[in-house]
This record gives sequence, structure tokens and C-alpha cells, in this order.
Amino acid sequence: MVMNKMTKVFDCIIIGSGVVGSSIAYHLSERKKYEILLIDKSYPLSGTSGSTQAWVWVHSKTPNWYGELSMYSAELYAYLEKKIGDFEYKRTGGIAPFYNEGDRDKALKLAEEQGKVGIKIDVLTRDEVLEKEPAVSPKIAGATFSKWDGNLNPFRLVELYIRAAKKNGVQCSFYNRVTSIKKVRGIFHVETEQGVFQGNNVILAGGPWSKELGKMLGVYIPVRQVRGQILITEPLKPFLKYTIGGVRQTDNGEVLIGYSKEEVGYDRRTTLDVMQQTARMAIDLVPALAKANIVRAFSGIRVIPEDGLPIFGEIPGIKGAYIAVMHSGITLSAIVGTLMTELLIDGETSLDISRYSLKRFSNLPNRKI
Amino acid sequence: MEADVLIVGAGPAGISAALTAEKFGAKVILIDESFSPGGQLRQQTQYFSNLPTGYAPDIGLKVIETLIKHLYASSVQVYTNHTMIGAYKNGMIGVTDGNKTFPILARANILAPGAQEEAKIFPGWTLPGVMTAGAAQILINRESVLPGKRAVMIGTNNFAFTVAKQLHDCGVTIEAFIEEKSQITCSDGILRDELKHVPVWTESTVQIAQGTGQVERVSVHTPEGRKEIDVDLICISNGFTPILEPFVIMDCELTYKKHLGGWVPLYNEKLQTTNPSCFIAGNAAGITDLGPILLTGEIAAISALEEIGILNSEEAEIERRKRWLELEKLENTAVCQARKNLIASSRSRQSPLTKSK
Amino acid sequence: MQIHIHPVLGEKFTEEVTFYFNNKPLKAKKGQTVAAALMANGIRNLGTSRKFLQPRGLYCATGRCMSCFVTINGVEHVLSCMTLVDEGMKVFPSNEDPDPGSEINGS
Ligand SMILES: Cc1cc2nc3c(=O)[nH]c(=O)nc-3n(C[C@H](O)[C@H](O)[C@H](O)COP(=O)(O)OP(=O)(O)OC[C@H]3O[C@@H](n4cnc5c(N)ncnc54)[C@H](O)[C@@H]3O)c2cc1C
Ligand SMILES: Cc1cc2nc3c(=O)[nH]c(=O)nc-3n(C[C@H](O)[C@H](O)[C@H](O)COP(=O)(O)OP(=O)(O)OC[C@H]3O[C@@H](n4cnc5c(N)ncnc54)[C@H](O)[C@@H]3O)c2cc1C
Ligand code: FES
Repeated sequence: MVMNKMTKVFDCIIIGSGVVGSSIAYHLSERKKYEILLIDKSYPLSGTSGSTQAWVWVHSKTPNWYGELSMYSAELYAYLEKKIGDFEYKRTGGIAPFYNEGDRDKALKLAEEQGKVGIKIDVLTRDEVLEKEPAVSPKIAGATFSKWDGNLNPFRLVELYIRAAKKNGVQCSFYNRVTSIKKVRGIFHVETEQGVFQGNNVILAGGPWSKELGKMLGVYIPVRQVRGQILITEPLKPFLKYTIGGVRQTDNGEVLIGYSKEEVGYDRRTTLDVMQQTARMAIDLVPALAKANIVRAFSGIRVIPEDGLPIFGEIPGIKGAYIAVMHSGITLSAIVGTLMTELLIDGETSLDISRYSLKRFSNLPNRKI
Repeated sequence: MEADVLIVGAGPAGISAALTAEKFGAKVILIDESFSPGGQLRQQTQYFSNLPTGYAPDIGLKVIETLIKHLYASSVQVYTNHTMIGAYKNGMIGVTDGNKTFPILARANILAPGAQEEAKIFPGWTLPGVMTAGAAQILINRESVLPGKRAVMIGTNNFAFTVAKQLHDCGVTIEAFIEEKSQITCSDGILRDELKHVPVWTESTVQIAQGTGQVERVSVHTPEGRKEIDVDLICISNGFTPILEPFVIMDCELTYKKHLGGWVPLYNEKLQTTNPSCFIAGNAAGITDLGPILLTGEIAAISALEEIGILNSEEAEIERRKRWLELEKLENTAVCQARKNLIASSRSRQSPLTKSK
Repeated sequence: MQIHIHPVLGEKFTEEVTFYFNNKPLKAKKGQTVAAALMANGIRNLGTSRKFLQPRGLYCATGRCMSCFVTINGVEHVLSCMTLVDEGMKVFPSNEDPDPGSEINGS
């Protein structure tokens, strides 16, 4: 990329252009105030955002304030689509089945808690579920259901974020790895394979590589890498209307199936052990899938904060340095991009985000960086 | 299921590997996704004379028939209609017969899945009646079915001429060869001579193939202007490229080598890939002549047996050397050079290719 | 068209079988694949593409391109170039996406 690296100082340098980084870049650029640089060591969908199930899932996110955050993001997606283009967002409604009658109490409790923040949940009987979604196995006992849940096409979403951001003047440097970050007289020097860039602010949006990026600033980022393997069927006639626990059908007809969680570091291989187990679980829930051909499997690395909740906001103790790392980045990108923009440009946010600060981990015993 | 060596692909390379491994005392399982062993040699009616010692010159089909006879007389367990589709966590290869999927536990694997034909894209290329040259060859020689009556062949490489000649002998009229380049690329003078009555349109490209429900017509852009002819068969001969899925599944590193057909798994002189339990043979390694294909099967088998301790290193080295020497005598020079480059690059590589033990 | 006497191989197949395409009985040789058996009967159009509804037929004959899908004995999306024809086999062209819905609610 042609630019005078040494003298130019960006207002903000974003490291990582997955769904989280590219959303922040787009939302920041909408204000037309900042000169922004978006850097990725590879291409924008090379990380977890290109290997995800892509539900916009709301109703079972607990505690309820986390559910509320997810709901606002779902709300924003409907408007976002009008601004940046069609990314196949569908609020299909989500069904989370349970297999034991004993789980009904838990379901009712969830409905009560989420109801307090405005997430309406129905607790369905078996027959009610089968009426809604006849393909589901009668072996289930019931399900929680909410109209808030849905899914989208992550490839289109990220592409459209970046296209809109570029139109707003965001500069991108892809296939360029950040190797170190230094703060010199209040300015961040971001060293990359293609030279040093300077910025007044820096945002770490490195997904599964967040720990390494944190290290560059001397900060411990408490996240785990959890592999998920997804099976994809060939395109089938539409037969699933809703987003169901572990299974959804895309616009194009393929069914995406995934349940697995393995801690194996950054290893994106797929294994038949998990594929076969995944297929069995799917057939248990949606028996008709026994007839479907699987054409492909892929895996992605979830990045899961130690307490399961999103981490975003300013990094405590380093003024001008920010982080945004979370599981469910597809669900949350719209709200996180919006709030991070408010935080950087307005200095205050329309929602209290202190709960999401990295600070909450500071009373944990000191970690080795 | 358990074996010393699992071999994926029962083409000439896989069968040769299986028989070699069995001869040295290994318990061998050989699988193939097709309904019969033999691979892409099952439809080759052309004559092969540059074969390794021990092989009688014959047409391809007979060469493989003989090998298959030896195979079924041996202790090798052969499973047709079995496809390798994945790997288990512990490195075992997973195979399916269409109903069940299960692991095969082997101490070493030889992957010999062969190559596939490159497509060539033009408007109408998906119409029934447009097919690869290899598909037309399979239809006439393996299936005894005529794919059409009037054909054009896209491409003028050796394979294009081989198949055009075989189609011609079965009564198909070859209307023309269509070649993008300025001259014929086929290096076989005898073949060219046998088909000298067929016009060759050089510097020409297909504009469109048309027809209702199937191919009826093709329009070709030539230096003399647009030519249109009625045909019911369009064959595409655009080269071969190694089949990579089994190697990707086994996490073998790939490299790009134009003269070996594009992306190929990286391997060393033992024909060992970057996954030390996986060896490679045949067309998948970018080897294109039948003699060398058979010899790579033998070399891979010897190295696999060395890896698991059935052969000691000295024995293995002697047996391998013998075959490499013979192979070089039989191999086409461009492939030979490219293969040597690939092996050399595997040597200079940092990460251990043979960290096995 | 069947090649009865091949110039190099002579008569390759001897045994005849009857199978059905769109319920119409057809003859084939035992040992042939379904795609070849259909072609021997002049049928090259095996299905319809899902997006632009264009005709599809055999392309690679080696199980790699997925262009030759048909329905065989009720199973959708079977590769006709990799499946041997059999006595009484019922073959239909592949004109739409597979419909798993027929097994709704398990059974
Ligand atoms: C199997 C699976 C299913 C999932 N299902 C869902 C779901 O249904 N709904 C949902 O909301 N979420 C889901 N998720 C989670 C969701 O996909 C992630 O939360 C989200 O994609 C994370 O986005 P990200 O931008 O943080 O990370 P990424 O997309 O990984 O982006 C990080 C980027 O940072 C770049 N980077 C890292 N280090 C450097 C460096 N040193 N220099 C330059 N660039 C660097 C990387 O190249 C990468 O492009 C799922 C995840 C998996 C694995
Ligand atoms: C259609 C076609 C026609 C050809 N015709 C000629 C010709 O006329 N002249 C010539 O010189 N060369 C020809 N070739 C090149 C041909 O590949 C070689 O001549 C030779 O057959 C290669 O031997 P091989 O054993 O390496 O591979 P192949 O003969 O291709 O055998 C590989 C075997 O592996 C099996 N296999 C692949 N993947 C899997 C899997 N995942 N699981 C289980 N089994 C698997 C295949 O079914 C196949 O039987 C042709 C190739 C093709 C594809
Ligand atoms: S013709 Fe290509 S898969 Fe059958």
C-alpha cells in the first residue's frame, strides 16, 4: 500500500478484520471523523468469522443483561442491512429443544429472567414444537422458543462491512502481520511485516489470536481457543424453517450442523470422530437428515473469554488502547461496533459497558503474559 | 480393520505398491472407491512398451488385467466401493462403503489416488455431450458405448491425439482439433500422422456450444473467422492435475509445480510426504508415464516398510536405488526434472520431513 | 449406441439386463455403469441444474464432477458414472434438490 508510513499518524489502527474488527472499522468510519487503518495478517474471513455457524442468537444468552446486548444487536442488523446491503439476515425464530420433562422448570426460569429485559420466550410442549417444525424428532420433551433468534451469511456481512468502510475512506492493509506494538510519547507504533504504522488509538480485534496481540502491549487476555467442527449437507429442499439447537438450513438449501467443543489450540483440522458424533446428534434431533449427503466439513476456532462473556472497551492502564474479543461475534458485531464508536468518538456510550471491561479479570491471581 | 500398510487407490500405482509390500511380507489392505480395481488403466487400449523389468509390453488394459490377477492371487485384502473420506483424531484413515464409516488401523499409508482432468470453460460447456477426453475414452473402451458420432477435440496434447485416434477407430468422425496455441503440442509423430486427415485449427477458441437439451453445434473463433459445425460430442483435453483430498485430509504439505500438474504434495526421495505416516505414488505425485508410475508404487511400498521396520534401512536403500535408476531411464524429461526439483526442495526444507521416530 | 464389436477388444460384455428410466424399460449390458447404459440408449440428459435449470449429463466419468446425478431405486443424488446397472433398477433424472422432508418426524 502506498502511504508515508513514518510521518502519517492515523486516528485509529484496528488490528484484525474479522467480523468484529471490520464492524468497528465501518461504524467508526460512518462518523467521518477519523482516519482509520484496518490491518489483517491474512484476508478478512481467514479467521473464525469465515468458519462459523453464524446464528444471530439471543434468547438463551445469560445473564439476562448479556441477552439484552444480543437483542439490541439483532435489532440493529435489520437497519444495518438497509445501509450496507443484503447479508441474508433472517429472523427465523429460534428453537432450543430439551429432552427431559425435568428441564421444563429451567426453561420457565429462563423465560422469566429474559422477560425482564424484554426478550419474550415461549416454553413449548412437544406437540407445539412439532407443529412449528415438523422435521424435529418427537423424542424431544419441549423447547424454548423466541422470535428474536435468526441467522445471517457471515461472508456477505464481512465483505459488505469492508466495502462500506472503504467507501468511507478506511485504508486496509491485508496479508500484513502485526509483529509488535510500542507506545512512544503517546503514539502507538504498530510494527508490521510491511513497515511501521502510527496511530493515536489502537484496537485489538484479533479473535483467536487476541492473547498474542495482548502480549505485545504487556496485557494478559483471558481467553481460550475452542475448536468447533461443522458438517454441511448438499443443498436440500427447504424443510427447516427455524434456527434449531445445532442445526440450521441456509437460503441456498445446505444444512449446517455443529455441536462440538474441543480445546486443541489453533488446529483447524476436522476429525471423523467428531464428524460421526455430530451426524448422530443431528439425526437424533432431525431424523430426516439421515437421508442427506454430507459434502463438506470444516472447523473454526472459537475464542471464549474465561467467564464466557464478551470483553470490549478500553484496556485498563493503557490510554488509547482498546480491545474487542468475544464468542458470538456474529451475533454481537453490530452492537459492539456501535458502542466502540461511541466510546472512541463521543467518550461515552448509550449503554453502560463497564461490565464488559477487561478490568473484571484484574482481581484474578496474576497471570503470566 | 488392521494392517501393516493401507493403500488408497487401486490404480497401477496402488496395485504395484500392494504387491511389492506383500512380497516383502507385509499385511496389506488396498481400497478403491470404484466398483473394480485398475484405476484409469482400465480404459487404455494403447500399447505400452517402456515398462519396468518383469512386465511384458502390452496394451494398458491387459497390463492392468495381469496385475489384478496377481493381486487377487496374493494375500492383499482388496476392498472396492470403499472411499477414504477423512481421518480420526489418532491419525487412522476413515473409509466409507456408502453405508458405514469406519477406521482402518495401519502403521503406514500409501496414498495413490491418481489425477483428474482439468476442465475448460466456455459458454455451453455444461451441456450433455461436452465431456473430458478421458470420459469419452472410458465410454468407448471400458463401457463399450459410443458417446457420439461427430466430434471435435479441444486441445492437441498427446492425450487428445490418443483419444481422438481411439474414437476414430470406433467409428466417430473427428471434425477438427481446436488449439489455442499456434501449433500442435502432441509430440508423438506416429499418432499425428495417423490423424493427419483431421483439420487442426490453431490459435482458435470455442466461442459457444449450443443445442436443445444436448450439444448440437459448436462455434469456434479462428484466425480465418468464425467457424460453426454440427457436432454431438465435444471432448476437452486440458491436462491432468493430482487428486489432493486424501493428502489434505492427512495434513500433508502441498507445493506448486507446473510440470507435475499444478499443486502436488511435497515428498522426498523415499516418496514420503510431510506426514511421516503417509507415502505417495503414481499420478498423484505428478508422475505421468506408466513405467514410472508402477515403479513409484514399488518405491513407496519399500519406504513404508522401512518406516515400520519390516525392512531395515540398508535393504530399503538398495531396493529403492535400483528402482530410481530404472525409473529415470523410463521417465519423460520435463517430468523427471520437475520431480527432481521437488525432491530437492523437500531436502532444503526447514521443518522435518522425516521426524517420524 | 452400444459398441458391439470393439476394434481392439472385440465383444466385451455378453449378459443383458433390463432397467427402467422414467419407468420406461431399457436394455443394457451387465458390467456397464448407469450413465453408460443410458447413453447406449441415446439418453445423455441426466438432470437439470438447480439454479439456471440447464440440462446436465456425464462430464468426467470418474466420480469427480457431480454432473451425472440421478435417482436410483429411491435414493437421490447417486453418481451414475460410478454405479453399475442392475436388473430391474429404477432410474429417474435428477431435476431438483433432494427432499429429506419425506421422512418427517422420524420413522
Ligand atoms: C464452529 C463455530 C460456530 C460458531 N457459531 C456462532 C454463531 O452461531 N453465532 C455467533 O454469533 N458466533 C458464532 N461463533 C463465533 C464467531 O464466529 C466469532 O465470535 C467471530 O467470528 C469472531 O470474530 P473476530 O473478528 O473476533 O475474529 P476473527 O474472524 O478470527 O478475526 C480476527 C482477525 O485478526 C487477524 N489477526 C490476528 N492476529 C493478527 C496479527 N498479529 N496481525 C494482523 N492481523 C491479525 C486474523 O487474521 C483474523 O482475520 C462460532 C464460532 C465457531 C468456531
Ligand atoms: C479419465 C482418465 C483417462 C486417462 N487416460 C490416460 C491415457 O490414455 N494415457 C495415459 O498415459 N494416461 C492416462 N491417464 C492418466 C492416468 O491417471 C495414468 O495413466 C494412470 O492410470 C495413473 O495411475 P495411478 O495408479 O497413479 O492412478 P489411477 O489409475 O487414477 O488410480 C487411482 C485410483 O484411486 C482411486 N481413488 C481416488 N481417490 C480415492 C479415495 N478417496 N478413496 C478410495 N479410492 C480413491 C480411484 O478410484 C482410482 O481407481 C488418464 C487419467 C484419467 C483420469
Ligand atoms: S460424470 Fe463426473 S461425477 Fe459422474
